[in-house]
Amino acid sequence: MSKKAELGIENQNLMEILRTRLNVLNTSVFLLAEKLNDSDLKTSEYLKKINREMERIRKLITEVPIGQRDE
Amino acid sequence: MAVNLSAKVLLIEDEPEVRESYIDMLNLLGYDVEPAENGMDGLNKLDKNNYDIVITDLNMPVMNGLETLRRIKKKELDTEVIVVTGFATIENAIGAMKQGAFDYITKPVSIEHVKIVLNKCLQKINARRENANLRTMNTKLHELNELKDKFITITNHELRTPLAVLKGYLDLLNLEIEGNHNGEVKEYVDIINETVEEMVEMVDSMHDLSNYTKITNNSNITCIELNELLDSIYKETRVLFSERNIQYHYHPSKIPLKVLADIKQLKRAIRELVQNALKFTKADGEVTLSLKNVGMNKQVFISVEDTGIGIPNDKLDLIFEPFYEVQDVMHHSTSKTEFMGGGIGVGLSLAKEIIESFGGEIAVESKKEQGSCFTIILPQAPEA
Repeated sequence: MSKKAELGIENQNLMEILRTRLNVLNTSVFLLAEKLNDSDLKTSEYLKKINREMERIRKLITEVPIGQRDE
Repeated sequence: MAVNLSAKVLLIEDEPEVRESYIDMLNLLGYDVEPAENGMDGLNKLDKNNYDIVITDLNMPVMNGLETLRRIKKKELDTEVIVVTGFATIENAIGAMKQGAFDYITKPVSIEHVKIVLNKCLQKINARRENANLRTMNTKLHELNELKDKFITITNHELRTPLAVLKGYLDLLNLEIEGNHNGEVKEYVDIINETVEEMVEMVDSMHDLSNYTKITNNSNITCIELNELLDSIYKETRVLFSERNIQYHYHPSKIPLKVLADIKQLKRAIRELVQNALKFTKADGEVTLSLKNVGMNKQVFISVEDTGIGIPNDKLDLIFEPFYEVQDVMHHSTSKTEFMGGGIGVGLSLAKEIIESFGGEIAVESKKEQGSCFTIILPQAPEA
């Protein structure tokens, strides 16, 4: 079994829980943006930045394979 | 111990007839035999191939058995050497064993004796290899553990930053749209706030869990009087129960009970159990915190009993596993005081780690839909 595979169910569970929450967050921010006035510059700017941070989190928890950093 | 009879043997014997008879005998015993005419020939073959056992005569031309043995041992190979000697030169055989030979066989050789000596030799080789495998596995597990901790540390460290930034912009957005909240906007904003809070809490909990070895590195062990500690926990937490309309009782011990523990960590473990009872007990339910001892065993029992949803029998083994949640994701909510709310399922894991680090254990009894009783069992502190 590879180190990646052996890293254990704990980390997989954490990733799974974080993914679920991130999906909830993503959907809610999308729906909120739909309901808000997009002509308000500040609101648009904050939403853009919130989306940017969500994307950073998404990359961290979905695209970085477990163990890659250490091998 | 199982003996591997397909072991490879290098036989060093200068007399061709004797050599042939040994080969036949060893083949009969199931060994794979390679012959060599003298010590030098044997060493050349050892350089080219791996052998489990070398059987060498002691008296040979070109290079005698003792010199051959000395040179084999110098190579630090994973090969055992057995010497063959006549009764007249048995002192040489003992000398050979002092130089690292596994055993000796006396001439004329008997097949039964050879069989016994070779079996013993293979058992030693197998034991040594198993030991080496265990050492390798142990090192690998150690590395894996370090890797896991490193992964968790990196993950939660790297997640903290974007989460903090996200939360900052979310606060700004809340300020910006404050007053313009219609029903739907408010609903979305609440969900977003709760989810972010929850993710922050998850990362914090992960940090706690990855650090539990540090948490349970008990350098602050003191003698703690439990009635006092439980009384303070009861007072600190009762407001949470009254908010949820749950009856909350505390039954102290009639006599002072002391344990040796780190007060902060013990308090945390008990609070986790109390929080757990709060979380899984419906309004109008009942939670009882109690302390007692069993004099005979010099043990103290801290119990948190609830009339909550209970735990199915088949799940009892899982509840102390990190990230195990009895409730499904759909029922999850952020507030730690709400029914079925809060947490990512690391509280009980932490409590277990902490209690075990004080030489105690946590027992759990539960009936589905009737309630659960978690009991911390700790050794009583010796009387001064």
